[in-house]
Amino acid sequence: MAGFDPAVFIENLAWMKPELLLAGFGLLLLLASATVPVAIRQVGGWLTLAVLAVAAFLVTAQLSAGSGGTVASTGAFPDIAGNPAFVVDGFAVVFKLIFLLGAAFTVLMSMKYPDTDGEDSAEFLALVVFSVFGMMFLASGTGLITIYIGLETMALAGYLLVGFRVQEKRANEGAVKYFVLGALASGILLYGISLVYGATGSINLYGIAASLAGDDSGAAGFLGLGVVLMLVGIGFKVAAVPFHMWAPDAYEGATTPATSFLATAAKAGAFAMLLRVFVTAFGDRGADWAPLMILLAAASMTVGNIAALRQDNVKRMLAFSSVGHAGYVLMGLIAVGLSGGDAAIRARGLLSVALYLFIYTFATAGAFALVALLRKNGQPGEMLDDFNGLVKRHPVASVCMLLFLLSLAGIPCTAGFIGKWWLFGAAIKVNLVWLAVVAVLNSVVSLYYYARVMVAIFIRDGDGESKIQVPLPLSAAIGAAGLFTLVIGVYPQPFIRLARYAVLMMGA
Amino acid sequence: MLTPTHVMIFSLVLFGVGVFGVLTRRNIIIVLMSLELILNAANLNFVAFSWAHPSIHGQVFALFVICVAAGEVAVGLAILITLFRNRNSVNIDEFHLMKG
Amino acid sequence: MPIPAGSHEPDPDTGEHEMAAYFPVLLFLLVGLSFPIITLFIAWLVRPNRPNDVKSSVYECGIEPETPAWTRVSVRFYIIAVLFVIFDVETIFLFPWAVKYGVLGLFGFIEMSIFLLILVVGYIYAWRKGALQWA
Repeated sequence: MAGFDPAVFIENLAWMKPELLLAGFGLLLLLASATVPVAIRQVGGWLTLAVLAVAAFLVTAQLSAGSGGTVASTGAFPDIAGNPAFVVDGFAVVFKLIFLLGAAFTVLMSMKYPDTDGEDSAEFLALVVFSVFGMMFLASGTGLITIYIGLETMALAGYLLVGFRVQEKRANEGAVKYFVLGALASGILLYGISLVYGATGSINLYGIAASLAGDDSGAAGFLGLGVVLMLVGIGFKVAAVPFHMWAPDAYEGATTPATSFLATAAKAGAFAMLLRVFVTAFGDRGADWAPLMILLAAASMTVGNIAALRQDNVKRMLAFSSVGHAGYVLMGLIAVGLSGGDAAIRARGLLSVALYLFIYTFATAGAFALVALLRKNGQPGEMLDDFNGLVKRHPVASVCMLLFLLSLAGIPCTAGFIGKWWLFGAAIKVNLVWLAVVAVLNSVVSLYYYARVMVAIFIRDGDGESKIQVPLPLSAAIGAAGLFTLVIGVYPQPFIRLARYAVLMMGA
Repeated sequence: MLTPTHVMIFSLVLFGVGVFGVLTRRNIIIVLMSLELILNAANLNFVAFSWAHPSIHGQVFALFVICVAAGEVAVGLAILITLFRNRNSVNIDEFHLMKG
Repeated sequence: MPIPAGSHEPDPDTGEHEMAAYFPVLLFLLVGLSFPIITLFIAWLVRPNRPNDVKSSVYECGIEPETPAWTRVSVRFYIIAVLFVIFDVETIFLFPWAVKYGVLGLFGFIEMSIFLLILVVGYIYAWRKGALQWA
């Protein structure tokens, strides 16, 4: 064991404070659920929110934890070759904040919501906490073992979140479909990792990059196959076409807070992994994998938006729409891949991905919060007709929904426009103008099905129901999401500054 | 006699069989078994490359994958049981409540 | 290829193959496989095969079968089995640690204790939720 220093290890652990906090709290939730169930049911939600806030604070502190008060850019837990397995840099900080934001919205939605407020509310919260814990290793991990275990932690908790309503047949079905396809994706990803390991001799992203840097002739033949399989595996997780089949069923079957979690945090987690792996390990070979990704992006945008046109179930519609948004986000990664050493384009690509995921989280979580709002008589309010006449029943929520939908469509003056501006601009900068045009056309198409919801809310007449009683946490969620969606739309500079930290990826 | 290449070809065959099983079979339990096949094919690959390089990282990874696969099976069977309780069947063709 | 303990390097002069020590195993395998196959085959050749309804029906101690042969297995067996798998995988991690225990020292001990503690939390959860009852 020469060379292993316990003191250095403990020092490295200090970089993992947010993760350790979440893990400890998750375990505490389980213990509390087992020993003091009544008490934890009442305070669990608020406690979880508090812990998420503390974790966000710890993560943000890393923005000035580097030498001289700059952003930390440290590697921890190095392997024999000195490559770190866990890295704290601007990229990791920004993505962890996105995860915590998505989780916070989920927790807010789950409080006082019938499905998740019953006997097993603490388990729901524990699953969310464990899932976020796994995601954090996707943002920070640079050793493939770390990344894989983080991915599996996130995914296993996700499967259970989707299947949380054990009585409901659609939840069972959604969970089974999500599980089978998700596990298949993990298996394919793992096989791809094994091929990459075989071709490069390293299971660390930096080691792979080093092995590929010196070798211009292209390593063994199975490197290409390995990269393709890894892309297939992560493509499943991100719900890009043609690997998106699980998303509509899983989103529809899951209870609405869980759906929001899948759509916002889990998607961001998969994107964090995609970016880390492809920019750090395969960054030099960008021209090789970018064409595949262009295909994925174009297909996702088109198929996602066109399929959403036919949906009457709002959750299913939002699922297909999120497939489309995944396509938009992939454009940022394509820009990084094709940047070919141009630091400005690379920065724009990374920044636009992080910015868009933030904006998308607010809008999507808000939209799902509104679906949660419409629940009545034990039935989730997820059909288009449930939105009829909402403007008379709850005008503020209706205006917020308008903001969310306009933001998702990318109308100017909302946050979504800013996000799309950056993303489409990144695509144009690498001479993929046709792709940007496809994206714009798809945004126009998406406006049509978002408009169907808006028509239902504002123009159609409802059943004449009385005003809705909104629990406080849910209204806080809708209000916060609406506020940010509007503010980022008119004054985006602070968020752009925050997203700029995502450019600081260590060693890449 | 036996080289890493042989092991690689074998794991490729296993991987193919596993993927075919997941995509084709109607009984979910068989699908779960095929998933395990895929994970074990990757394990074999890791060990073969660990032998070929030589490097110990592949074997370490294989150990962790075994652990993760166990967890995945637990979760998968739990989901399967909730499904079975509601429907009394594990035939995947019957699950089409959600269409479109 | 690994050579079985207590054997020797193959002698190239006599054309000895490196797997020669395993030859008895091959013989054993072949005989073991062929014995039941041959006996069952001969029996299949010799016996008559004239099925009818009464002969093909299920045997239940001479009376008419009342319920289907498949009975519902309680889910408790699954729960115990899956708990076993999880803790068995925990044991997998205990073995390398145990082998190198001397070198890892106090730090290794504390680290493994934390790992075990996490699993104990899971165990307490399973216990208090009644997973371990009646099976």
